[in-house]
Amino acid sequence: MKTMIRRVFAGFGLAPAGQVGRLEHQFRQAAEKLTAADGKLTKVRADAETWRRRHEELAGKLEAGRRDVERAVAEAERAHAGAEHAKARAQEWKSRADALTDEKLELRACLDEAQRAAMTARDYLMATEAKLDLIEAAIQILDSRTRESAVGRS
Amino acid sequence: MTAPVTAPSVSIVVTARHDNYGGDASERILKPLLFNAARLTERGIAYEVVLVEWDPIPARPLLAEVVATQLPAAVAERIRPIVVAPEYQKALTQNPRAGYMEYLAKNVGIRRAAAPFVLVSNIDILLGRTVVDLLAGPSLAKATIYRAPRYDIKLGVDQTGLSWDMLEDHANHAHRSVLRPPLYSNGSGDFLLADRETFHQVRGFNEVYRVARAGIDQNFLAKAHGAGSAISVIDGPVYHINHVGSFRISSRGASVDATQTAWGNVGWHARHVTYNNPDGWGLGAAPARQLPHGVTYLDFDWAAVPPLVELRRIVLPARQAAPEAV
Repeated sequence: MKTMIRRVFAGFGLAPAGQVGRLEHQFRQAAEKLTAADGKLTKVRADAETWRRRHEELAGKLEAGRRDVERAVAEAERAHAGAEHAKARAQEWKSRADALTDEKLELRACLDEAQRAAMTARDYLMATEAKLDLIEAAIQILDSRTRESAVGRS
Repeated sequence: MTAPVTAPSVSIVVTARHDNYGGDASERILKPLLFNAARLTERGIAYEVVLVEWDPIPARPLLAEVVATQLPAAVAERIRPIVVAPEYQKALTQNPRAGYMEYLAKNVGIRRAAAPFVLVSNIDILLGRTVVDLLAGPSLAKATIYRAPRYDIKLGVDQTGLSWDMLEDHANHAHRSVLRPPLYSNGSGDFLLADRETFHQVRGFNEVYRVARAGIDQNFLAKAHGAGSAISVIDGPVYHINHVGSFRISSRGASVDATQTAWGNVGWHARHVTYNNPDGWGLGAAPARQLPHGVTYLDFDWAAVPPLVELRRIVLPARQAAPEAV
């Protein structure tokens, strides 16, 4: 019977107060959920914006880093090329230094030989001077003896 | 003077004549002889003094006679005088201005020295304490030439109380020679001590280059050093009482011209040119005879005189490994 009555009222768009109360309660709950979901959605949107910005920042940094790496690689390539060049130059200088060292040793040997020759020449010169002293002295002595004997005879 | 009773361990070779060179003979000759004799006797050193009287002055008594008559017998008997006929001076000279041939005279004494060690010095040199200690000890080495620096005592100092304390007092020193390697030659004519064999190997001082009197002692060291002899410096001096006419006082400002100084050519290459004396060095072939007072007299003989010039005997010294100070 009760069910019949309800169906009749329902035909007129009417419902029992309890049901209405329950439905209102459900409606309020749904509205609250909706509000909460809105809040969450707003927060998620803000988070998304934050993450987007961070992503953009990171992407910018990544791009800058990539450019730095490219520059560094370019520099390294240049440095490598420079090092190769410097190595070649160093090798050239080393060769020149070796050649100069050889030349220096040769000159040193020549100098030593020249010094020895000069020393020997100096020694002989001094000995010759001493001999000349003796010859001059002997001539003077013989001259004086000759004069003395000549005076003695006259 | 007679031959020493005990065989000498050291012969001290000096040369002088009675000419009052450097002052009165008793001051300049007898006092040093007495001083040295006293110091050597105190230490028990058997010594002889070979006193070579070169070119004696005809009008004066021989120095040998003066020494014999004026020194106590104990000192005089240790003195062995050798008088060299005056003709040798004239026959040997290559430079009449460079008078007394001191080193030829010393060669006469070296050649005839009897002891195993020979000290060639000058008549007015006073032996220092360290030198006498060395002579008294057993540490003299062969093939080594010992040198001692010479300290000059002020000119005109009172010699009444001659003693080591007086000689060692710095206030009495006028000059102290410094000996530098390799030859340590400064004033070497005043002190050259070596074994007799070394002196004989070197054949004494240069008798070939007789143009100069100066530098002959240094020249001996250059030859000995080149011949491999070690040169060692004694850590104590000998003393010399300054007198007018000594080389140190009189040679300042001297010309290096061979004809102008009493020492001959003082600039000759004494460090670099040496000699090879003939076998008869030291008047080895001179005839000897004995005179009173134990005097040995070397008569003149041309056979004892080397040629006036022998250029082949001028030689270069062998170089030694030690760096040479030029």
